[in-house]
Amino acid sequence: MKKFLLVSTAVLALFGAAAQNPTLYFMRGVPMRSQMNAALAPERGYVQIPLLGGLAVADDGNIALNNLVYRRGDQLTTLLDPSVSAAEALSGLHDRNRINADVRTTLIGFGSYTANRKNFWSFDLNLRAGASAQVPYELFHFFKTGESSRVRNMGVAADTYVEAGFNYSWPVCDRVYVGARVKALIGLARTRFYFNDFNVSLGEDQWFAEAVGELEANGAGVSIPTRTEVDGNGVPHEYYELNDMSFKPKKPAGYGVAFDLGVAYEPIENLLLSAAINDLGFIAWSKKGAVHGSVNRTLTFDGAQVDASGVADIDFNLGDLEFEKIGDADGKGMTRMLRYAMNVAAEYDLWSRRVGFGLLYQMRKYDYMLSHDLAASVNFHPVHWFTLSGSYSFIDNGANAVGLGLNLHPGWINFYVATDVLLTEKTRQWVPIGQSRMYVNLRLAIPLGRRGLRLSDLDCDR
Amino acid sequence: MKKRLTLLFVSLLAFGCVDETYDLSTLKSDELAIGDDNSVFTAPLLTLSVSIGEISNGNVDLVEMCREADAWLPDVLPGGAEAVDVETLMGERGTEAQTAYLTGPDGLLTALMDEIDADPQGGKLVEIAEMIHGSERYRKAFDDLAPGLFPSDAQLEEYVGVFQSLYGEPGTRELIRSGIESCARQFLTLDLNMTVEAFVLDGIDVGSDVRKMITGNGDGKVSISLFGDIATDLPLEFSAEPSFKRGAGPTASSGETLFRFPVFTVSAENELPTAIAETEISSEALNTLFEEQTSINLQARLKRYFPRQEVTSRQGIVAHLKVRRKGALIFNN
Repeated sequence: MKKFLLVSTAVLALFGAAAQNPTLYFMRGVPMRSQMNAALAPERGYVQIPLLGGLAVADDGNIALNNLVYRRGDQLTTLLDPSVSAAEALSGLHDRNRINADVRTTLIGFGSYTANRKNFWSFDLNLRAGASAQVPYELFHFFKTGESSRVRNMGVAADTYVEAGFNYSWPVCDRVYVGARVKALIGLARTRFYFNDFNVSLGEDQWFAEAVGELEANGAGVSIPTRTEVDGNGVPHEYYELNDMSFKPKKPAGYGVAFDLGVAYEPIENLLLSAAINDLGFIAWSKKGAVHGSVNRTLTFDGAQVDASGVADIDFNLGDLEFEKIGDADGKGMTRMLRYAMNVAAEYDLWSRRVGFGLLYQMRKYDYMLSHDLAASVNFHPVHWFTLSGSYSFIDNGANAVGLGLNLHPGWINFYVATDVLLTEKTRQWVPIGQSRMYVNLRLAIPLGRRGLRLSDLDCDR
Repeated sequence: MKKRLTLLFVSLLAFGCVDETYDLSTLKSDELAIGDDNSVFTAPLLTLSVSIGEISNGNVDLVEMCREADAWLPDVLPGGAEAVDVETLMGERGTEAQTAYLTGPDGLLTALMDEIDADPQGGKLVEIAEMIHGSERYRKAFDDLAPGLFPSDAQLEEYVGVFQSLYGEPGTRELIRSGIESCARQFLTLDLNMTVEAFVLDGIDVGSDVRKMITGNGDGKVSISLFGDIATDLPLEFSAEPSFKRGAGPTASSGETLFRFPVFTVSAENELPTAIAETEISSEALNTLFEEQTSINLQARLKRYFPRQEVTSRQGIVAHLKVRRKGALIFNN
């Protein structure tokens, strides 16, 4: 339980998720735009600089860092520290406290227009890692007040995989473009541990604790040591020691496939409507090297029962609420859907496409939540090689964060950065303090070939 | 130039929003706590069950002691009392009070002899005779008092018959009366008491996490006290001053006293359990209770006895002890 709480807090506090930065969607010169909608293409072909080519970090949840971490003197401490009062700690929490993290690192990426300068293809190799955590309010309430609580459905899930994707976008008529990306997935590791039920009561006459949950992990290099304890009936039990878990990937732990589908339509001049669905797919995780554990224990303590014969045995060891290994051989293989996402947008340009206004609706399916966002965007293209974009999200934007994006592509380099933490209060590590969402995108590429001839890419400089 | 200034301005804004004092590298996460510094938690500690087998007067067990007491006491106590004041019998209120309580006009022995005289062939004399026959000590006392008058190795019925006839004879009546008075006086003043055996507690194994949560980390921020309740269904009223000592067996009596509760009185008359007053205990002492062998001594003293009540092996004394802890429950990483 301690490990679960600390991992959850770490995920909640340090990760930021959402590789789908709304600011990026309307930045025409940005190659990553096609990863948000397979039908969209950058203005020119490109080759991304390996490893420096692209980094996307995002955080999507409903609690911010300052709901979890508090300043005490010259130190920071978690909300579970005794120096943080219950009223202060619980005031910023929700019924279901969730956070989701996504990191996408582009290892290799390149793309180009075909000879007609309307069809666009690209290839990218990405390393992706994601994590989700859900911690119900009742658990925090118990830890801060000590009052009996029944906690349901809390857990942490994380996975990492490599995706190799080939994207192709083409016009089906003058004003409609469609695109599809097919991705081969190589799973590296995944883990999930959760509690369906966690009840605890600290009363004058009885202390009671009950835990029902499971642990799953798949990965060729996942190692969780166990310790053996013998119960009162002489039966040995093996418990996982999550504190000593290590991960050293040696080989793939699973394979899968996924698709991105997109469409872009320009019904009238200067108005572009687009929609896309991404990461529709799955990974089949191998049972080799898989770990499976469960906990289903009830502990009660009514006090030591003392009589002339001595003290009756007491069965109240919190260590027994840890996950017990199931089976002797490898665990079980499983197939898991990816966390798919959907984008629907509208963009209207003015003044020879020098200024654009956009509206983007995003939906993303995470392990514990369905995330929705509606963002408005303003985009400036004073010259064809310079784009400055700003966006504002209307949902769960308690810190009133403004997204800013800058794209410079003069002809020999294509550099962009987009983030919504630029102007908000943040830690020394640039983690936003009051925001429950965070996006940071950074990419460096070398432009290739001639510019495309898609309608939406034309501007007054042509 | 304009672009450079713009970029510089944005950079300054960005870095200007960095809170240098909010440094995640200083994040302290090694302590998880339940509650905060103002929280109060209670927990069960132990339930002590004292059966009748662990209670005696030093010579015989409680069942036998009550049988003897019922024999040496009048069936109807003087003044319609429900219980015998043992403290007065023991002389704790002074010799005069003791004498008056025994042999005064409303004394116990006076009432006993009056009851026997009222019906010399009746149940009280028979009860006494049967009790004397069953006790080697009392038989010897009467043999010494009246040598040769009591048949040796006589069966119960014969012995009772001889006892009744000797009491009825004018020449032996006073001798038997004095014997009855003497034995009754000796029992009531010396043998009507109670001793409860000490109990050995070989630690309380709740795991190190829970133990440390309850006893604290020794940082002085926690306040711990014990409290509870005690009840009995025995026909007694007694005072108790429970104490916990380090060690057990022969070493326990000279061992360090970890803590002691203030004296309280327990009575079968009470419908509800008697409260054990909340008593502060040090973290170290409580830790000893969890980790080491200790002995529990009730140090009971009989105050009143309710005669003619059923006494069975199912009866006894039950005490519940609980812990009250102020401050957060800490469990370290």
